[in-house]
Amino acid sequence: MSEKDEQIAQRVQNGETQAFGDLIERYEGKIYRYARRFLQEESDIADLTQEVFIKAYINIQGFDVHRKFSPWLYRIAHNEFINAIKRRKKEPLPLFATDVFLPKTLIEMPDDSFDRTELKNKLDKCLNRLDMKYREPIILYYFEELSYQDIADILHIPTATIGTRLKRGREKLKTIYEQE
Amino acid sequence: MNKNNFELNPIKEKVLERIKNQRLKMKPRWHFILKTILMVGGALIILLTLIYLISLIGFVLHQSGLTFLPAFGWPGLMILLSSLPWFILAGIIIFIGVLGLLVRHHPISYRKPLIYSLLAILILITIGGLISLEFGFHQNVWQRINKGPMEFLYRSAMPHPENVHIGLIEGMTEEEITIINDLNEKISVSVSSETRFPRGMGFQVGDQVIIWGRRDNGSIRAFGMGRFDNRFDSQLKRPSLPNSQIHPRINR
Repeated sequence: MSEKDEQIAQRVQNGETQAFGDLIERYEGKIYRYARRFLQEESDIADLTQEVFIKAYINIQGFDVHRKFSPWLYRIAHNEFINAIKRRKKEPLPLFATDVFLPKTLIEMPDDSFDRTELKNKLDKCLNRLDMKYREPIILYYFEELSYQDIADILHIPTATIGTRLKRGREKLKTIYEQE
Repeated sequence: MNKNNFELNPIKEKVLERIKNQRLKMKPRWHFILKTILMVGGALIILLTLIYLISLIGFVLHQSGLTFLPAFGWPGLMILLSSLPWFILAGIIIFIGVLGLLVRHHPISYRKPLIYSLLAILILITIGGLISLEFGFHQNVWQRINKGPMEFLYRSAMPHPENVHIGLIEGMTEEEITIINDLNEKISVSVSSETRFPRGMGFQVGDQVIIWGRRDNGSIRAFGMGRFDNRFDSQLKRPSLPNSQIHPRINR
């Protein structure tokens, strides 16, 4: 059985710094893909991906080994990408998301009744035209295949809001797809 | 090796090389422990400040007799609202916002809608404020402070609503009641059939009362009147009344 991410992170914390290479190997592709989909028009995706791992290494002593490693790393990536957007000012950042304020009367559950691969292909074509607010949960859920709770931990928004954003994001993507 | 890994392999090599050459150093564990301590400490200080401010509002409202006013209905409620120490309330709203942002870093908070965190903070500071009032915290501070920023804070926070008077009953007749206020002024209060007594009329000499009515020189035409249970009893200096002046209760 392969070693868990959290166990490798603990080894890095205890001084086995070269073990950090294993974590890079496991996540470089994922973080690169996440960056490419999230920052569609950026040219320095590889540099940003590298920066995520540098930040992760610098802050690894702050990682709680009793929690999951992947949301922690994706959170660093999320912050790094948001900062990149701020620096380039290519896209407006939402100042305050009102959908995190009130409880949801209906919690949206993922709709898995359709062909996920086909949906991914369709989504990938239209993602760049979708608001960041909806784009990111869609990338993390459909492409990175993370759970609602993991996405909540990455974006620091309520779990129920993830469902709402996924539903609205799908609807918006459908409209975009039909227009094309 | 897929295309992505082929493209990305330099990332692993570059990062590991920088680690090896000591050009990349992880922050020590104490840095994160200190950060957590500062955040928790900051949140605690803000929470205690909020409890202090909310109980201060309760204290000054009671001291000035404003908590009695809603018993007079809508007009009384309007006076209460217009006399609230708004600068303290604004401070409370700002501190709640800051505390909300601080606790938002914790999964318990961000996994739930923001309104829950804000409600939890409000409930916590209200309970804390009530406990603080119950133990007479502000009464003790009020009695001890002489000058300086604390006295300024209490004096600025204390509302002085127009047409609201507090005093001790010194004498009573069928038509008039005489009170002595905290400045030792003797004021006659005229009571008519229009005067409201939301807490009943069984007054007697020595009772501390709150009167709502316009003062004209040495007399007040009472629109409303009630016994004022000032459990803090620090703002008013109780004048001593001779026993001979005690009259029977008014029966209206």
